[in-house]
Amino acid sequence: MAGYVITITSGKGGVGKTTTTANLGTALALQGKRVVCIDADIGLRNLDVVMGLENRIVYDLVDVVEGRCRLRQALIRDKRLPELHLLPAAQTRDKTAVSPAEMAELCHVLRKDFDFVLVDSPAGIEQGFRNAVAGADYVLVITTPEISAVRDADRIIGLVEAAEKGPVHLIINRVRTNMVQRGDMLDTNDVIEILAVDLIGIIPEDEEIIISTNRGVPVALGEHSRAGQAFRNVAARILGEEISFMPLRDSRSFLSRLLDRVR
Amino acid sequence: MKEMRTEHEKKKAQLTIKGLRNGLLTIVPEDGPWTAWTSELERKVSVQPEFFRGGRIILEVGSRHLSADELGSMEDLLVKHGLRLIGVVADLPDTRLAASELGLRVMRTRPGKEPVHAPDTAGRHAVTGEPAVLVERTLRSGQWIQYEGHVIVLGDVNPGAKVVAGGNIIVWGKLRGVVHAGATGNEESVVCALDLAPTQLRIAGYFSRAPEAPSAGKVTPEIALVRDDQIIVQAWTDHG
Repeated sequence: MAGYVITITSGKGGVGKTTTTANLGTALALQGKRVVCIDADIGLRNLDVVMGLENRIVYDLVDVVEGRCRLRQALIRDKRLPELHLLPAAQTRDKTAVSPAEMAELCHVLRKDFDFVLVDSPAGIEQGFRNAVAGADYVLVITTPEISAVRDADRIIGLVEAAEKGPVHLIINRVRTNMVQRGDMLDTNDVIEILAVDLIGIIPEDEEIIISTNRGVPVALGEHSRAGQAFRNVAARILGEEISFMPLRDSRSFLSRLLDRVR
Repeated sequence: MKEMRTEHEKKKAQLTIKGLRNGLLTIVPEDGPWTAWTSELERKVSVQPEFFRGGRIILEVGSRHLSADELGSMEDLLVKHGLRLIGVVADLPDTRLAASELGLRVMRTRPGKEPVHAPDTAGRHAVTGEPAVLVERTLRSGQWIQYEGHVIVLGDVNPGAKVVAGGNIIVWGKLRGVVHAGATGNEESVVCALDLAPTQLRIAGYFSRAPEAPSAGKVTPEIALVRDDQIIVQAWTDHG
């Protein structure tokens, strides 16, 4: 049974594509799935850093495409989860080093050996984006509840539809519960009304993300992070489970929040 | 075996390149796989590189259905051989949309060719229609439609999307983007929408902007038209 190719993209930069890729990969691997994350952001690679695998890179995606190594040699096994792998981007080249056809072929080869191939797309709508969606069965569009990010997500969804990729699912990242409650932030319904695609995840803003990114340990590995739980929920939904969205309000008691701070 | 099949296809239909005043018109036959024709074009171009270098290509694809990806890879291929893709002549709205995604000029008829009028077979009592295009989808940010007749959208026009029509614009959905009706100067043109809240609305030479604070309350279908030298908006039901 061949695996699925899922491309994670957004249009706008800095909304959490790489964080989402690392955490979804982690969460799916925690469920025992064989996962490979491809960093398609050639020239601005980050996924290796977020996954804490930077110092293990020997070969990269461009080396594979240009035939300097075999695919197996470029795959890096995660240091914590044996089912999780990374195919890093080249840092010394640019997006034109790989063509959409080559990316599609690469995804096709990888899906034979893995349950999930996650492709971390670069920001923008140029060739890097076209490469990233070339082999996609599903496209996850990431946005934050800001007008500019939603506008770019809309643009990207239009391009994905025009390229006849998809279906598209939406993740709304960095939602600040208290601001939504005060009416100072777009809420989920506002975003869905414009984008009109299926929602698969709502990720709360979480300071743990910054700490985990700097340490190279995805939050989905730990038990305490709310964002980590939200990413594990997305993974479960991808695997076909029906899980309701987390309540946006922090409903835990004052005591348990206090305990969190002591931890 | 593969070679023979291509030979066979070539008998049926051929890739034609014609010189026009403003570029090279490349006519891609409607049948056969698209990739076969792209490699055929590449073959032709590489056989006579000095003839093609610096050339401007207008691609005519007829009623072939093409994605932005497919057109994009064609553009990449042409650029690789020092050619520039300046426009696409296509019949299908999807293909036209894909071409406009890539920032290419989209033409409905080949430059210099008269539009073909359908013979008037309708009876003399038939109502004469006007040219219109039906867009059965939501226009998302960055997508746009330009048409000399009326434009009807069954879907939303999102912020960042644009519709330009020589005639009327009717949106069976939420209108949030930029619209220009009567773009060739017809002040009688109107814009209607189930939810009329455009970023910017133009009719002929007149211009109006969305109010800074969106009005609360129930959404009703509205029509915008020019009256007394300004654009006014009223309930759609009041019209006619």
